[in-house]
Amino acid sequence: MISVVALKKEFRVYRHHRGALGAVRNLVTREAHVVHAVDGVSFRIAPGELVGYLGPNGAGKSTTLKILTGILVPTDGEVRVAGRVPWLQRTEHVRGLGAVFGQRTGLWWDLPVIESLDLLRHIYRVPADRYRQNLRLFDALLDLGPFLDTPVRSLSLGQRMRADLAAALLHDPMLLFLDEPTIGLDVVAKERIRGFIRAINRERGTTVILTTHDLGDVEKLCERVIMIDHGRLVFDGALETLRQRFGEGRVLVVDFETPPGPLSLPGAETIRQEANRVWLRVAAHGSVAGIVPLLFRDQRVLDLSVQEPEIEEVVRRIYEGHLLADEAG
Amino acid sequence: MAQRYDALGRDFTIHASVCTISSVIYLHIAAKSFQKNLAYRAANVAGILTNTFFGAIYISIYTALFRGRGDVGGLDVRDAVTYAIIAQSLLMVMSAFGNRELSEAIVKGQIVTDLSRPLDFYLYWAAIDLGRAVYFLLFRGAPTFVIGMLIFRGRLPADAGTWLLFFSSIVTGTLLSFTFRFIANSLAFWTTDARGILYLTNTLLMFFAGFIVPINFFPAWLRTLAEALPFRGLAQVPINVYLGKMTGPALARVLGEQVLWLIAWVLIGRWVLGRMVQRLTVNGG
Ligand SMILES: Nc1ncnc2c1ncn2[C@@H]1O[C@H](COP(=O)(O)OP(=O)(O)OP(=O)(O)O)[C@@H](O)[C@H]1O
Ligand SMILES: [Mg+2]
Repeated sequence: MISVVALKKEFRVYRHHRGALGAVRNLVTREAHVVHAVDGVSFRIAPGELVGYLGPNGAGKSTTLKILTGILVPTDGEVRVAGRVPWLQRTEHVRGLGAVFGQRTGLWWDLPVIESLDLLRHIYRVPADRYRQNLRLFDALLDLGPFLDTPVRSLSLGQRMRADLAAALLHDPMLLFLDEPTIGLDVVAKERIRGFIRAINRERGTTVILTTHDLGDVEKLCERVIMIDHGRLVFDGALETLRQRFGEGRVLVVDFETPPGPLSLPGAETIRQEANRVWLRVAAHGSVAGIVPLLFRDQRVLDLSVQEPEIEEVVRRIYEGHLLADEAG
Repeated sequence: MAQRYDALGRDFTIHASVCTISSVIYLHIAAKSFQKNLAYRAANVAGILTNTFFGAIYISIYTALFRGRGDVGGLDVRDAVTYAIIAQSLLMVMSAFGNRELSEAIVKGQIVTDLSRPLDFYLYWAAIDLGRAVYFLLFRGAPTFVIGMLIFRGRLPADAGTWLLFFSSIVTGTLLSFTFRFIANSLAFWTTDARGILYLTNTLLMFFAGFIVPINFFPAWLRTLAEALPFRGLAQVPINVYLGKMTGPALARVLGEQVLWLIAWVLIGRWVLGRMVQRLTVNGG
């Protein structure tokens, strides 16, 4: 469905000098430096996949999606989407594509939502009965009813995002690009949008690429994660693999009857202690079952729980760059 | 039916039918744009009053000016009164104050979403402007005209043929206005001061259209200049056609010139758009 090979996008950024004299200098000297927004990324996505495209701010996610949409031409590399080169055949390409750029609306600001949807129906030539069918389904999933007649400019952020999602899917695209579809939404709105994305992916087999900074989206939706940083691929695989490979291991929380002395346990390290409670980190490939009996040896244990590494924590550590150096070798 | 593909693999088999379908799409866009303008009804009533008020001011000035004179630049006092009424009626149809919708879409980057639709960007904006112009013709121009005619007793055209020519020249004027404003607005892409450019180009447009002072009243040298420019198609040409001051071969020549200007503006506008899309897709704006 999508194949990306050694994709590169460089931006030339010209330095701007401030003030009146600066304006003159801007005209005379053009000091440019090159930003490598996407720097040699390759991946393939099969039909029907739902992939999370992650990375810290400025990693190159939106740039990649714009290239895949056909509105940016890459500096180098090869891209095929459904057999087409997006930027060369933009009109044909976008006909089979739905895209939501979360920061922007694809609807007409002054028109009621229903009028925007109706116009899109004509632009994408959706047959009338198919349009009605889709509208009914989207209304059931996204509860569009209460604001269908409201002009887009007066919608709340969550309502607008729901309307935008419906608009992106009216013409039954095979492919859906979502750039931060849950940005700025409350918990309930996020849940609703996640449910919708999942339903579209499962029931229609729509291939979805989703960028987000909300790892809840990723945990609830994506089996596969592609992560980039500074325009380079950092990870491509299952979410579970990411957790195992980059997690710092599980944490064992133990409540003793009385405050324990210093514990020395093979394969576990004390990371925190408060009165009777001790937090122990079990090495990534260590076994909890091997440690537990040792705890009971000298002390009475009142309670015991195991915490899986939080995906938030895993991703934070990757973004902060603790693990990249090792990976890069 | 055998399928034919061009070098990029595009299917050309159903070209003819696709063309008819897509013009329908642009009509739908125009209809939605019309509808959007319909939402501002109260503002429109205020607009009609304003146009009528300025019409009245022009008319009182012309009446004072014409006292003791039969004819100025080929117009008599009733012609001048009619000129003022029609000029006020056409102001918004021709978007004489300009509009910044396109330049704002460019500056704010909304044009990126527009590019992700299977549409011809130029025709898309043309359709939006068509909807706007038709709205202003029906809901602003027509009422202002009728009220002005009733109060100030302007002239009516000689015959049905004149009405027809008047309408054709309005259509040409609207298209000239759009194609010119498209270019002016697009320049927003290359400058940080889009407002400055639009201010300048709109003043040019409004003055040389003959909206502020009838071109008939210009001194000879300025009149020669105004008649060499296309902008008079927005006001002076339709009004002189209406008054029967432009007929026969002279009118044919003027309309012919305007069509040539129109073709030039479309070609330049499309060229500028091409540069813009190329810059945008290659450099990311
Ligand atoms: N049009 C442009 N001109 C110059 N530099 C750009 C342009 N667009 C993006 N960049 C730069 O390219 C890099 C990648 O930007 P991009 O928007 O793709 O990041 P992102 O991963 O989407 O980040 P975020 O999570 O903040 O949305 C950044 O350093 C950004 O400043
Ligand atoms: Mg982004």
